[in-house]
Amino acid sequence: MTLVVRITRDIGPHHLDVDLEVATGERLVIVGPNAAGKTSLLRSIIGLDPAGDGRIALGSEVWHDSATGADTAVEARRVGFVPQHPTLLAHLDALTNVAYGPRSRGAGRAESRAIAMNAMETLAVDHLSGRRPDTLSGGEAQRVAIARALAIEPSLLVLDEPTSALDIAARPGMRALISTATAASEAPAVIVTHDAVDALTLGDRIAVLEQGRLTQVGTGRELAAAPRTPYVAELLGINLIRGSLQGLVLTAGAFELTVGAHDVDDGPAIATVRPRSISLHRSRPEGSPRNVWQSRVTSIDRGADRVRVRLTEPVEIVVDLTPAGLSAIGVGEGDEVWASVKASEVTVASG
Amino acid sequence: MLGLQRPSVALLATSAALAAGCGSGGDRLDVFAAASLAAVMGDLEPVFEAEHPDVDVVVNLAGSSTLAAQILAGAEAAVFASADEVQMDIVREGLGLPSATTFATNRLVIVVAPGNPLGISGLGDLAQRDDLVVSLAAPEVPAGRYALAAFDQAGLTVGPATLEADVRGVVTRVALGEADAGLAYVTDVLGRSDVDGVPLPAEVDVVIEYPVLAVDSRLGAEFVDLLGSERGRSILAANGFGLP
Amino acid sequence: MSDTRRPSVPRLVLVPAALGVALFALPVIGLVSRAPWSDLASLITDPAPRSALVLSVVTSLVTTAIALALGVPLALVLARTRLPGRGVVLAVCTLSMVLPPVVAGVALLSALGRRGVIGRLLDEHLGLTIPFTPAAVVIAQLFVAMPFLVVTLESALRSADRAPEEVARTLGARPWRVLATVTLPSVRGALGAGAVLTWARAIGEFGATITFAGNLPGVTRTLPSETYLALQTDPGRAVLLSLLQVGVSLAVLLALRHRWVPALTGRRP
Repeated sequence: MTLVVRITRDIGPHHLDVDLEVATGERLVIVGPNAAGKTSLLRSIIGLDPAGDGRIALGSEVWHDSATGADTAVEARRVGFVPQHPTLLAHLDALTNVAYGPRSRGAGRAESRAIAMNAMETLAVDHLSGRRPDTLSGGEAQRVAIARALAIEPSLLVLDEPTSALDIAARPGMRALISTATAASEAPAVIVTHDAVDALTLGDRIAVLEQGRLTQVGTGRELAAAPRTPYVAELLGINLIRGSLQGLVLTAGAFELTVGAHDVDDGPAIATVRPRSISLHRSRPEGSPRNVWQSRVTSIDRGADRVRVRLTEPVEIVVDLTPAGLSAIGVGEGDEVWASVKASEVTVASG
Repeated sequence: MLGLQRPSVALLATSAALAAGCGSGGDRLDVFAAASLAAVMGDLEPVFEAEHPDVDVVVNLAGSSTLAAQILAGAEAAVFASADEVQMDIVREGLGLPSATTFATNRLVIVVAPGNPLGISGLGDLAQRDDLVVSLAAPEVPAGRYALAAFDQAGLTVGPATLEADVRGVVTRVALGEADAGLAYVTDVLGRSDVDGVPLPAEVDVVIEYPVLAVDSRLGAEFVDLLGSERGRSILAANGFGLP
Repeated sequence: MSDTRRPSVPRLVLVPAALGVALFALPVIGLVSRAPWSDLASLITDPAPRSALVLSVVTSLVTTAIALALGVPLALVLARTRLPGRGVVLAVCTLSMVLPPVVAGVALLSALGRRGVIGRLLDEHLGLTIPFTPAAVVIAQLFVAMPFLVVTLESALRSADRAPEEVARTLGARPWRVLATVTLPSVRGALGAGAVLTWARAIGEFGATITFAGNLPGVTRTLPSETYLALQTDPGRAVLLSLLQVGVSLAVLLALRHRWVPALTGRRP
């Protein structure tokens, strides 16, 4: 069953304007910066908040239609919702929590508990069935919450920031779990995250929400290849420069960039450069790179095996170096530096 | 009936002897009086103060038992005017004082709504009419005891709807319309426009006697004198009290 | 879980604190020391205090039950809806908590007495009078005590986390089920505390009861009324009755301290 969401809604000073579809069995990841409207969108789809103008339908079930005035109550929509914090009912044990959904929907007590146990086995948390929520770790509670959502045999799965509460070491495991869990169910899944790895690994498609609007929808590969906004570029770890293309030169204000071969028409365009493709020098370099410019270091992020250097003026650029490479140049924050990149490393797409 | 006699020398001597520990009161005269004597004391106070210009009369009004308890606990009272002989006896025994004198009497009356719309004529109505809501003072307080005595004398038993902690409460219940009838003192009903009184027949002989005692000093004794004087008696009569 | 540590308040604060404790403790100590224990035997065999105690306990329990039946819905409406006039209703509820009880009694008479706004209609058309009945005792207690429940519960409901309720709804729970299985359990601390406070206030109620319900042994004479009357004639008896009241209230409050202390102090006992 395909989920169709067309929403136009005002939330205070913010505006939400979204049109998307999620096919049966598909996983759509919604990414965006804070205050982009991700939570509002989620709540409208689930039915916790009004959906304003538009239509929300799952297959033949119409959940909301402002044209006809149709509006199905939350409890009547079969949405398996896994909130950002597990939010298990504190006065019930884990099994009763998972059984809560089926029980609410009319199943008998024994039947609900059987369904719940099944779901908990799928998530490998059946051994926690008698435990109270306050005795569970974050990861355990999260699994119970997922089991709880699956127990109602949802027609739509919605997960809100599924890995943000976990430490980094635990995230791959959770991602794998979510993959399996969503694969097992035929229901379409909508996953909200601000984490790039989540987006790339969990999403069959990615929808980027910025300031209430979808700025780009596509597969991870498509986004990485041709990001349309700085946010997408930043998210996927790419440099993005908007400007005006003429032939092989992109002009962005006072900055000129010679780009690689392409078949894009002259006019507004977006150039992308991988952070690794840019070299830094203490003094003006000689040699082949067509693009050379002077800039200033604003910040240096030292990671385990790479260093990310941010430059500003004339354009915002990030450069990835090895630690050895950085010390070879010997620049620090605030220092002037020369940057260079080969034209062939600059991709361009129409903007 | 006891007549009010001039205070004896013995009484004066005893109170003077007691005065040693209590302090003689100086310019202030503390009169402890039962609540039903409120209007009387209010009328007497300026009279006494006019005769004794540098004396300030301070009247403490409360239930007789409360006053007795206060006096026995050491309160400085120059005069104790009680509505209950029992409480007076308690004080006299506690302080070793000779007998008190009766200065006023009171009678019971049936309290009804103005105009007596329910046509109540006597105690029999209160005891026997089911449609009447009756309020009496609780038997623990003097007015309640006297009320029960009145019913006893008439050979009747009564089932009140409520028992009040003080006799004024009875009048209030009838005045508010929550009760149809009650038994209170004549002096409580006099002068009120929100209730009427139905007198008891002469055969019901329940008389409430008010004893008074000077506990301390010459000044207290003079106040007691005033109570028994022509002036005092006319004030008592004007407020509905009987005279011994 | 205590460890030896310096007290976390300045030493000098202990002095006024001790005075505060004395203020509460001394009257009770006074009662115990002044009690004529030799009279205890006659008091126990006297049916009057027993019937007053039974009446007090029964009416206060009935009051608490009715307060829960009416107060919980009221608190829900005040905390969770946007009906107009909520602020006024909450103010009126709080008002009856701070009114002198006698004033409350007079107010009840004006409404439900024989000549009262509603009472008159009840009397004329149904022949029903409320004053001087045990029902009147309960009504008087309700008027002064129910606000404790409403105010405590309303505050807890207002500040309760809504997330569990929302999740329950997504799981398919309808409003009644959400209320019973999520909302009310989440405020059970305030519910317990409110109920205990309501009961304590109800059993201690005197001014409104004696004004509105009257004072007839076995019918409307509660333990406080019995004590007040005893004071008129036999202070020693009044002391013993006071101790009885103190004892009963203290016993219940201590027995239930796990229910109401945490909710009020935010601490485990």
